[in-house]
Amino acid sequence: MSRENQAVGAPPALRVEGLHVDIALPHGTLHAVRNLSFSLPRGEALGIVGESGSGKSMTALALMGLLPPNANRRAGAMQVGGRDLLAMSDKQIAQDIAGRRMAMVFQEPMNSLNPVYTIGRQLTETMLLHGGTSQAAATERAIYLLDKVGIPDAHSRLHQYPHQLSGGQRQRVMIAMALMNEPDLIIADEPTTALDVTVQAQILRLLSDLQREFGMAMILITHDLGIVSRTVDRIAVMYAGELVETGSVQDVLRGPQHPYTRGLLDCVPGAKRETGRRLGSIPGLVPSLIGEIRGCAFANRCSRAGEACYTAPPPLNATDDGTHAYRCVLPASWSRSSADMHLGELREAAAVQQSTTEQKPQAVLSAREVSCSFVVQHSVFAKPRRLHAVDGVSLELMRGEVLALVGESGCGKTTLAKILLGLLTADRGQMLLDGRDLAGVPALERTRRIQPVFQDPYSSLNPRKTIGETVMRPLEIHRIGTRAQQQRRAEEMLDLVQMPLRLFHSYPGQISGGQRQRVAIARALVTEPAVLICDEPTSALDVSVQSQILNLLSDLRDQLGLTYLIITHDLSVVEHMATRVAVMYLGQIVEISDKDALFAARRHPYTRALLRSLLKMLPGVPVPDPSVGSGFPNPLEIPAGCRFHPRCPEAEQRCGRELPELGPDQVRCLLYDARNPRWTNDPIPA
Amino acid sequence: MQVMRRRMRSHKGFLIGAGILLVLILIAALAPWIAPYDPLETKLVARLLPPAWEQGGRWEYLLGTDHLGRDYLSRLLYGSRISLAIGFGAASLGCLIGVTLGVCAGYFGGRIDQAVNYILTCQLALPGLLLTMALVFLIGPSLLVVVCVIGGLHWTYYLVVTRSATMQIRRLDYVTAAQAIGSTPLQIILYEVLPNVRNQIIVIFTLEVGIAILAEAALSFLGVGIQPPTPSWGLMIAEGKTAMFYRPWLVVLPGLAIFLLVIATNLMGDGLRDVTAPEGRN
Amino acid sequence: MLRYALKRLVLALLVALSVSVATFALLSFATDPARAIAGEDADPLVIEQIRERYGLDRPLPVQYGAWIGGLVRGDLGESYHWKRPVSELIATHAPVTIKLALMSIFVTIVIALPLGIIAALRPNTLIDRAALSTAVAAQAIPSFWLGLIFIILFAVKLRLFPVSGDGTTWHFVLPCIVLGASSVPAVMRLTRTGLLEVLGSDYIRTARSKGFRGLRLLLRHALRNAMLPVVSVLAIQLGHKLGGSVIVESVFAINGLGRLALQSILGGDIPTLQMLVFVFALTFVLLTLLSDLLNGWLDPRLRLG
Repeated sequence: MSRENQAVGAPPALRVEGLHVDIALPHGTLHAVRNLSFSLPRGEALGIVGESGSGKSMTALALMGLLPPNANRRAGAMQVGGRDLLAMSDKQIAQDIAGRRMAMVFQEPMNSLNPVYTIGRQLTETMLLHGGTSQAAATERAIYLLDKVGIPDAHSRLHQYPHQLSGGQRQRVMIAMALMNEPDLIIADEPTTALDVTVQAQILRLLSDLQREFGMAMILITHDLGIVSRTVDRIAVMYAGELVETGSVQDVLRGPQHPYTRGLLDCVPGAKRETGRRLGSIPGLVPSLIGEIRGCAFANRCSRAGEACYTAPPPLNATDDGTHAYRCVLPASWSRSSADMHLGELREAAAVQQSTTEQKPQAVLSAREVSCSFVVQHSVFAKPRRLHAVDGVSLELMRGEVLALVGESGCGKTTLAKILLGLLTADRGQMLLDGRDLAGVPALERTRRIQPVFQDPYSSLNPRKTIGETVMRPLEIHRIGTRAQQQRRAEEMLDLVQMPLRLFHSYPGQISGGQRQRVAIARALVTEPAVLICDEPTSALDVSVQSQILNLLSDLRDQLGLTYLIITHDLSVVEHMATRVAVMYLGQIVEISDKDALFAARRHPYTRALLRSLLKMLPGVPVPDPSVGSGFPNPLEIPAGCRFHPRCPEAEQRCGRELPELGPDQVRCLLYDARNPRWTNDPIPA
Repeated sequence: MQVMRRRMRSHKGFLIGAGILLVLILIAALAPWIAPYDPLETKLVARLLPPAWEQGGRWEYLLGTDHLGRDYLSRLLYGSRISLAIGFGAASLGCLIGVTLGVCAGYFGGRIDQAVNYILTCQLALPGLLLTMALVFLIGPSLLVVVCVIGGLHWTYYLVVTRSATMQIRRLDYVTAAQAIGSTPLQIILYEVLPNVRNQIIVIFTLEVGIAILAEAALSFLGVGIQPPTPSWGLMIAEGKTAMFYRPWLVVLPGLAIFLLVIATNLMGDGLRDVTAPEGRN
Repeated sequence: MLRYALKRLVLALLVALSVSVATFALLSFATDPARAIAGEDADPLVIEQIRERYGLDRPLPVQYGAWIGGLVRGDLGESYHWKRPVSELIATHAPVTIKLALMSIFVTIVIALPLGIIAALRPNTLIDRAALSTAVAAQAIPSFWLGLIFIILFAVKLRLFPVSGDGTTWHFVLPCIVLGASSVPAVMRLTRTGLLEVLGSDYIRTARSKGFRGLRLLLRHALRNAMLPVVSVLAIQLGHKLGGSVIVESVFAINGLGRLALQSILGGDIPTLQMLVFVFALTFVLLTLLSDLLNGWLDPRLRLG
C-alpha cells in the first residue's frame, strides 16, 4: 500500500513554526523547547538528535498533544499534512489526528502496552476507535501488520498479553499499532534505546523499510549519532531546547558547522580508527533552562565564543543552497581549526603498551568453570523455575589489561561481575584472586584488590551522605588511618578524578551525572585496588559526558597501572578502550580474542551478529541485517546443544544435538575451523 | 536538607498541625500551673453546671462541671497529658518493633522475610481492637499497660513500609558498593538503609500517634481503658453519655479535644509526607 | 491456580490457628479466669474448686489441645458468664453484625470510590483539596463520638432515626454510616493515588496517542488497572468491620458480635472471647484469600505467569 509522495505542491507532512514548551515548576518556569521551527516534506525521514535535557522528547510530546498538565505549548504554526493543529480542539485532534494521521512509538516497550488487555484488542481498538470499520476488517489488518513487522504466528499472538512477549517483540507490536490507520507521519522517540543491540538493528531496519514502503514521513528521536546517520535523510541537532543545526545527514555529519555539533562528533568513541587517541570532550554543563537565556545557549561551553555570543541570540546562518542551516555567528567553514577541537594530544602510545609487555603477564583474577543459577518465581501463581545465569565460565584477567566482557541481556555478565567481586558465591567452580581462593580472602584484603564502578550514577551514591563522606567510607569501615588522614586521602582522590574540592560537602542530588560517576570512581580507588570492575560505566551518560569519563578511566589506568574488566554492550566503547574481548551468550563465553583480532576476524556467528549491529556513523549506509534469528535469549529455557543455534544463520543439524566447547581457538562453535573458515566477513567500514 | 526545611515552612497543613500540637504539648506540660482546679476534686454541690456562657453557668467554672462536680476545664487540660503520653509512648514502641522487623525482612529476605511475613499475616488477622481491649482490661488498666498493649499491637504500618523501602534500597548500587567495600550487614543497615528510610518512618510515627490516641479514647470510652477518676478524654465522653441529651457539652467538648489533637498529628504527618516525597502529590 | 488456592487455604487455616494460639497464650497470662468467675474477694478455696471444675489447673498446652479438640468436634465450649454454649451465643449474635458490616462496606464504596475518582481526575483543584481535607478531618474523628453526635443530631433533635437498638433496617442506617465512614478516608485516598498513578503511566500515554480521551480513556484503559489494588483493600476493610464493630454496636446498642465481645471482656469470659477472636481471624484470612484469588483472575500477569 504505497502512497504517492512525489506529488508536486503537496503540503509538507509536518510544519512547525515558533514552537515553545514551558513547564511550570515550583521554583520557576522551565523553557524546555524554545522557538523551534522546521518543516518535513512528505515521505521523508528526519532525525532529531540531542543529549538529555535538549528538549527532543518534549518536542515530540508537544506535536502529539501529549504534554503533561503542567506544560504549556504555544506555537506560531503547527500543521500536519496541511491541517492546522492549533485551530483544532482537543476532541477533534483525538478523532482525526492522533492515531490516524500521526502516530507515535515510545521508548519503553515494557510499560507502553496495557497489561490487562490482549495484543489483538489493543491493535484493533486503534482502528475501531476512529470508526468506519468492522471488527473483522480490523483483525485482518492487525494480522497483516503483525506479519509485516516480523512477528511469527501472528494469528495466535492476537490472544497473548504484553507480558508474554519479549522487549523486541513488544516494540514490533507498538510499530504495528502505529501503522494500523496508515498515518502520514510516524514519530519514534528513542525506539530502540531499551533494547539489545542486535534487536536494535533489526527494529531500525524494520522502521526504515516500512517508512519507505508506506511512504510515511518519519521523525526519529535519538541521542545516538550512529543510528541517526544510517536511518534518516535529514538531521536536526537540538541543544538546550533549541535547534542549532539542520541539514542532510551527509552535510551535517561530514561537515558540521555549529561548535556543539563539532564537539559532539569528537566525543563519539570509535569514530576515528586511531586507538589511543583521547576522546574529545565538551567542558562545562548545560545552562539551566529556568528563566531566560540571553545570547547563545552554548556560549558558556564554546571555545570560539565572543562578546556577541553572550548578549544576543545568534542568527540563523546557512550554506549557499540553504539546505544546511545552523544558528551561530561564525561563518560556514569546512576546515577544522585546532581552536575548536577539544581533542587532547595523542595519548602516549608507549604507556598503553608498556603495562601489557612487562614480564610474563600474571593472572590477577581467574574464574574456573564457574556456574551460578537462581530459583525465580515471577508471581505467586507461577511455578518456581531455575534461571541459569552463568554456566561453566572460565576466564582470566591478566594484570594491566583491559578486558571487555560483551553480551546482551540474559547473558549473565552482571552475575559474573558479582561473582568476581566476591559478592555472590558460585554454585560450582572456583574463583582465584592472585592464585588464592577468593572465598578464603578476607573482606579487607579483597577490598584492597578489586573494586566496582557501576552503571547508574544516580543509584551508586547514597543520597543522604555527602560525597566526601562517601569517598571516606571505605577507609572508615576498615579503620585505615585517622579521621584527618582519611579526609586528606578523600580529597586526594577527588582531585585525582578532577572533582573541585569545594564540592566535598555537597550531596549527590546537587551534582551532575558525570560528576557522580567521577565520585563513584574516586570511592572505588580510595583503597588502592589493582583491579576495577566496571559494569556499563558510561551507558547511562550523555555522549559528551561519556567521553570525559572514558578519558578519565584511560588516564587513571596509565597513572596507577590499573587492570580493568569492563562489562558493556556498547561495542564502540570496546573498540576504544579494550585490549582483549570476551563475548558472552546465555551464560557462556563464546569467543575470546585480542581486540583487534576480534574486530577483524569475528569468528563466532554471534560475534558477527554483534559487530554487524554496531552502527557507526556512516551517512547513507543503511542498517545491515545482523542476520541473527529473532528469538530472544531466555536463561530460563536453555536450548539443547549449542545455545546459540536457534538464532544462528549457519546452524546445521548437529548444532542442536552436540555441545560445543571453547577449545584452544577460544571459539565455542562446532562449525568453526581455523584453517578453513566457512564464512567470509565483510570488512567493517572505517 | 535546606530545601526540605524551606518546604516545611511553606506547607500550610504542616504548619497548622505543628502549631496545634505544640500548643497542646505546652498545655500538657503546664497543666498543673494553668488548670484552675484539681481535676480529681469532687464537689457534689456544684455538679452538672453548664459552661459559663449558658444559662445557669458560673464564671469560676468556665466550662462547667461533670456529674461529680469536678471542673471540666481542668479535667480537659489534664486529659491532654494522658492522650499525649499514650500517643507518643505507643507510637514509639510500635516503631521499635515494626521497623526492626521490617528492616530485617527487607534486607535479609529469604527465610527471615517469610517468617516475618507470616507474623505480619497473623497480626493483621487479629481483631486488633478486641484483643487490645481484652488484654488491657484483663491485665489491669493502667497508663503503662495501655501504652504497652497498644504499642505492642500497632506496628504493622511500620513493618510494611519499612520492609518495602528496605527492599527497594537493597537493590540500589550504593548498597552493592557498600558490600563490595566489605561492610557488614549491620553497618549497611545503619549507614545506608536507615538514613534513607528515616523520613518515611517519621511520617508514619506522626500518623501513628493519632491512631494510638484514638485507640485509647475508644478503650476508655468502652470502660476497658483508663479507669476513673483519671481524666481521659474518652472516659469523659463515656461519663457524659448518660446526660448527653440535656447536657451535650459533656460529650462534645472532650470529643473536640480528641479531634483537634488527632487532626494536628494527621496534618503534620501528611505535611511531612508531602515535604519529603513531593512526587507522591502530583 | 487451583494449587495456589489450596495452598493458600491451608495457609489461612494455619494463620487462624496461630492467632488462636497467640490469643490463648496472651489471655492466659493476662488473667486468671477462676478469680474472675468467683469474684474478686472470694475465698481461695472456692477459687481452687472453680479452677478444678473448669479444668483450668491443667497445663496450658493441654488446655489448648482440649480446645482444638472441641473445635474439631463442633463443641465450641461453654461460656463462663452466661452458662450457655458459645456456639449458640455466636449464632444468635452473628447475623446482626454481618448485616451491619455488609451495609457499611456498601456505604464506603458508594462514597469513597466516586470521590477518589473525581479527585484523581482533577488533581490539585478545589474539589481535590476539598476531598482530601475531608479525608484528613474524617480520619481524626473518633467513631464513637461521631456516633453520639449523630444520635444527638439525627435521632433526638431531628427525630429522623431511632436512637438505638437493632429491630428494623432503619435502625441500621446511622450505625452503618458511622462504621462505613471510618474507612472512607483510606479507601478514597487509595483510589485517588492508584488512579493518579495509572493516569501517569506509559500505557495511558500510548492510549492517548492513539486517540483515546476523556471518558473513553478512563473507562476503557484506566479504571480497570486502578481498581486492582482497591479490591484488596475493600476485602481487608470488610474483615476489619467484622472485628471492629464493637464501638458502633456499643454506642447504638446493637446486639451483635462486637457487643458480645465487650461483655465477655468485662465478664472475664475467656471461652467466648477466645472463640470470637478465632472466628474473626478466620473470616479475615478467608476474605483476603478471596480477594487475592479475585486479583489473580483479573490480572493476566498473575493468571498466566
